[in-house]
Amino acid sequence: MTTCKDSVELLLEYLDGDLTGELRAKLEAHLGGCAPCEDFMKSYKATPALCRKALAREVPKEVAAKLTDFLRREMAKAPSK
Amino acid sequence: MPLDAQGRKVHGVPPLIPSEDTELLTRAQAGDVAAFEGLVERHRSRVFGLAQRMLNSADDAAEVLQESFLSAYRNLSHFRGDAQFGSWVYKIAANHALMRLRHRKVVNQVESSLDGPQFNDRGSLMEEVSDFRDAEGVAMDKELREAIESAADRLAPEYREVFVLKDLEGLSYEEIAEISGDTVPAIKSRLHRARLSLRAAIDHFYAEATSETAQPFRSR
Repeated sequence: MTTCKDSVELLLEYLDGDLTGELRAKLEAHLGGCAPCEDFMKSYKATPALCRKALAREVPKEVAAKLTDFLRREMAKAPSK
Repeated sequence: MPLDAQGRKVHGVPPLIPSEDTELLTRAQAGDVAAFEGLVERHRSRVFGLAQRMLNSADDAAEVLQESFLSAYRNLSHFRGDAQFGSWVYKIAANHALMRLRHRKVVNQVESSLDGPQFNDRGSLMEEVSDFRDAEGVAMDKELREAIESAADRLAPEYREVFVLKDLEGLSYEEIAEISGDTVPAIKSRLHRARLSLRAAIDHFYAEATSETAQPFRSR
């Protein structure tokens, strides 16, 4: 019998499409009959996209300007090999 | 303002077209400094974003940005045309960021900081799961952003690196293995733990929001 704990451990491989055969069938059977696990799987699946939204960054103008100055100094010292 | 192929003004960030990289690269390899600066301008945001997310420090990210493009410049002659310049410099940056992350000593970066679901003795889930199944429908307000930033910052370096490289930056397991020197199964295991911990933090955020307002959590 597949438990919630067993199911959670298989989620990454399942969502990557790497879970096949009996394990996949058992997991899908469990998810089909266990509402908390189905919700858990959906929230687990949504987590990367939420994190991408939260952690999006733009390069600040002053950082870009410093980068240009830095590289110009370094490039003047030695041409690329 | 940049111009498109027809000479029209393009607003915002121009799309990254590999063929433009190839032209700039050819000129840069011939010693054209302006062409190299053109490559830097096209790829600096993505490199900075990677470093910032990996290190959670704008100062460290700015240094990684400089180190990465300097490394790229110094090794331009070794770059072959069988890969895209963007991917190449991106891997250089991932290496620099990874080295910094692994050398950094940060308080609270311990194994026990990884949260995850709670199970009873029979292996059944013991918690009520918040319904944030649709990431597109979730409003990214300041509080949620801070909760996620805080949770990501609490991840130990070995978990943070795989989460950033795979889930935020979209590298393949094989590319991460090449950069980190770890095996794909080890990377998958750490990514799973990191996702569980971040999911738990988001779930906790919604549970608190729900208990404070006695309203369903925010969703558009």
